[in-house]
Amino acid sequence: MAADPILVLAFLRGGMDGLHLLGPVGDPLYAQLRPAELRAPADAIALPGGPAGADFRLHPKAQALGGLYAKGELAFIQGLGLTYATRSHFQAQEIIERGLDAPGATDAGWAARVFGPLGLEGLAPLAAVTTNMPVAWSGPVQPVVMPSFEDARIWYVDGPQHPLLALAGTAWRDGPAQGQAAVAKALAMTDFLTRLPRDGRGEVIAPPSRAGVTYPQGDIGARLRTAAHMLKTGMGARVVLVDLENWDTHARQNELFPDLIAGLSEGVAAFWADIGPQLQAHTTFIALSEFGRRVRANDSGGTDHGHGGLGFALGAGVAGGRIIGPWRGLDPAALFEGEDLPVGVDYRAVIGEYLERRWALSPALAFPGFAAHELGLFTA
Amino acid sequence: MRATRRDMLAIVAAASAIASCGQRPQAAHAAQTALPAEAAWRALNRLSFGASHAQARTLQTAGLSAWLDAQLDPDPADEPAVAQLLKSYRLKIEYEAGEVLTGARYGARKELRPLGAMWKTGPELWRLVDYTLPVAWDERWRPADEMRAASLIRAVHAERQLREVLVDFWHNHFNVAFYAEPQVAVMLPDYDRAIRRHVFGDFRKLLGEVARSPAMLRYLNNDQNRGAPANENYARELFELHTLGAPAYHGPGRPSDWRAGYGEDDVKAAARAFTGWTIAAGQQIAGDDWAENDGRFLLLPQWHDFGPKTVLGRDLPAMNSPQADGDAVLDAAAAHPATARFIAAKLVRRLVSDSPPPALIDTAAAAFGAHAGRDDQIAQTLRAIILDPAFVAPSAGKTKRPFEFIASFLRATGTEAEAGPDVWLLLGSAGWRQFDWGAPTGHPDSAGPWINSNALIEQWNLISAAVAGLGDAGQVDLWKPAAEVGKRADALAAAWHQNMLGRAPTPQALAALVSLAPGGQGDAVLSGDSGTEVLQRMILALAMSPAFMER
Repeated sequence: MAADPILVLAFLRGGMDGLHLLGPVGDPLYAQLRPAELRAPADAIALPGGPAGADFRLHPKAQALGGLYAKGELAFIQGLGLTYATRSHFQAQEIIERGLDAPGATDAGWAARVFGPLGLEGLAPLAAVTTNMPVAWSGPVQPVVMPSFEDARIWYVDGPQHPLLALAGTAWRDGPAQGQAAVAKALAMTDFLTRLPRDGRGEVIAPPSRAGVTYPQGDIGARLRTAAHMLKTGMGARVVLVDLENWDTHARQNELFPDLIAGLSEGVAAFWADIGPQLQAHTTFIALSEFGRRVRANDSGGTDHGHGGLGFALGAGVAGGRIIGPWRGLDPAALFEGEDLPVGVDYRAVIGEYLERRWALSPALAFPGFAAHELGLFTA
Repeated sequence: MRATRRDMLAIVAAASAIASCGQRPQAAHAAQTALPAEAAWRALNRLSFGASHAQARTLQTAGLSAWLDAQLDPDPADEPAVAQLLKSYRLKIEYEAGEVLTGARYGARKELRPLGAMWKTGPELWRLVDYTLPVAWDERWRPADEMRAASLIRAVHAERQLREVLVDFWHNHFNVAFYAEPQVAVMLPDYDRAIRRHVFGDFRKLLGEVARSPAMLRYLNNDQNRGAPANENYARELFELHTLGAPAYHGPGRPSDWRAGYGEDDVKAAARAFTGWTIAAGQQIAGDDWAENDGRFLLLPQWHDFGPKTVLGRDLPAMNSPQADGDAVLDAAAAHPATARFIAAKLVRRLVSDSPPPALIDTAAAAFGAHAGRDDQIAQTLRAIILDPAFVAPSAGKTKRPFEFIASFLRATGTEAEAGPDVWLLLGSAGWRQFDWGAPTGHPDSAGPWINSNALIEQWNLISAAVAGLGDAGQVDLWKPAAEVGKRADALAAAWHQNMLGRAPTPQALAALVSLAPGGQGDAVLSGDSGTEVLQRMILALAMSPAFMER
């Protein structure tokens, strides 16, 4: 097990079109099934280290990810997803966040099952950068959920040890357990943040980014910046789930998608530079989506829900500079139900191998009944 | 409990407000079914955007059945008092001068403007997405901004609370996210009117209006559903979220018995059935044939897939018109037994418990099925749930979600809703995106996703501003009870406890509130800025308590 591993897991919600980000330009069916504006162009960034016989090219808007790949720090995972056949966002996200292979009920999300019992220390060892509690954290844990750093405290409480903090804490002593823990965390966060430096208007000053680091405009950049700051401020963040949204490009994909991947690519690169070498040595960043999108474009300038998707892993323990996952081309005979990329890498294999190699935790804690297979994506 | 003069006035006011919106004459003898105070408070918290003292008294006296008669009034028009509030409301709009793509210019604006966009017709609203017109973006978002403000004003001030609760329920059930597309934003008032027309009505009619509404057509891309392959987005969510529900999904193929649910083949066939359902948006239909551009629902045979289809066990013959095909899918989905159960379970979850009692779901599903095709189908389903003995029985309550929390806070403190932009910023940070939940599921209706430190902090920030006389939600009149109970700390604490939680404080609760007063003395007389601060803290402490978070 590595010393004090840190996981930042980005969920690209909505079904990210991996075939637009990373295109098999050598396959003639790619150009037949998709118009040019929904493909990585043939002169896009070449990525050596892909599956034999395939010529995968990275969309030019994702240049920064290409740079991390070239340095051997980042690996792409092709055909990543759920083996269960569903094209519902809601269902696919639920299955993944509950750590299942098919729809079913669980008491807790996979992350809560694995990390909850560890009793990790610090103010916010378990965190989510989003507005709502992710299903992966549902259960008997109390992660800090914050979409941004600046507004994560009770505004009325203008200093530590405010009487309202004590009163609210007391009122909840006999309240329901989940509420009790959430209130305790809200009060502790408020107390912590009121001790941070303020600007002239009394607003908390967010930790500055490392010199030379610029996050891209937009939600993706803002969320990744918040994730970096959680690692940097001494809140003790160890597992941070980040929601990156708006990937559901049924229409006008040519307008929406380039900006999305530019935000993702530049945001991830800025995050990585921002946390600096010391944290980089402990931190692994994994990105996944609930599914990929249909190989063939629809008639409204977009793509519908597909099956196998694309993810990537970056940082500590990642055997990078490679595209892993089986690749059998775009011939309908090789596709799932004749129209979607098959799932060649179960999402549980990726997270499971990470847990085993970096945390020395059994993947079975997260994914009951899953027979893990060797990916060779992570080293100890 | 001693009724004060203020209570009596409130009861009279509430009773006359109900009478003015269609009270049935049997209210007097329904008093036999009067509820205990505690049960009335609990029932109101579930059936409204927060119990208030006045409404609890009305319900206690009238009993649930008579109270429901007034609440289930199908008239979609606002009550006179609410209409007056909306008419006198001013929502700020402010933007710099600028120009549109054609170079046409528009001037700067900075004004407090009455609500106007939300009353416009569909075609009038649609003009706002004509990008050649010299119109600022703020004007294009204005219909959605007005709808948001109106939603809070109605939730706080309507006497027919159950209507507003159900409007909110259907907006989430048939979720659209206005920020995704300007067309959705401009058509939101039109969409809201459709929901309000059928809120207690025939589910099939509601479903049909939603399917034809420009907001839904655009949000789920059905307006661009043409030819082959068809766009599956709407068809999939129609089955999964609007009608049969995810539990009825059977994966690849389709179940051998249609009564068991639906599969991928049903989704694909339904998507084909809806090809040609679109909006008149000035688009090219074929060749030299162009659609009108007035935002009306449009059926285009040129875009329709005329092949035969099988959906939910029904065969749709080849050469069916787009209208016949689409309506057949809606008929089959609305009448499917899984739909009755799915809608019933969601209603029981909304009104009763995060773990809906199966027997109550059965009762509601039976009522939904028995009244199918009638204009009071949803009303009768609600009646079956609410008049069931399981409804008023004590049980673990629901947790207020952020919109419910702020609405109930304004109601409990008797504060007029201001509903300015900061409300939506803070509710958004708490995870509540009114009319703008990104995923077609709508906001989750269980405690889990809302009980976290972030959601609590943002909701508390919203009420912090309201007690401090800042912000956009409204301004609490902290000293209001002083006119009756005087200015002693213990008397004011007890009065606010009664207003916000519906009962007198226990000695421990009173002691905790009084501890905020100077010297922690109950007989301390509050006054001036220090007294104001004590009252702010008392009200915040009450609103931050577990009892207030529950409904």
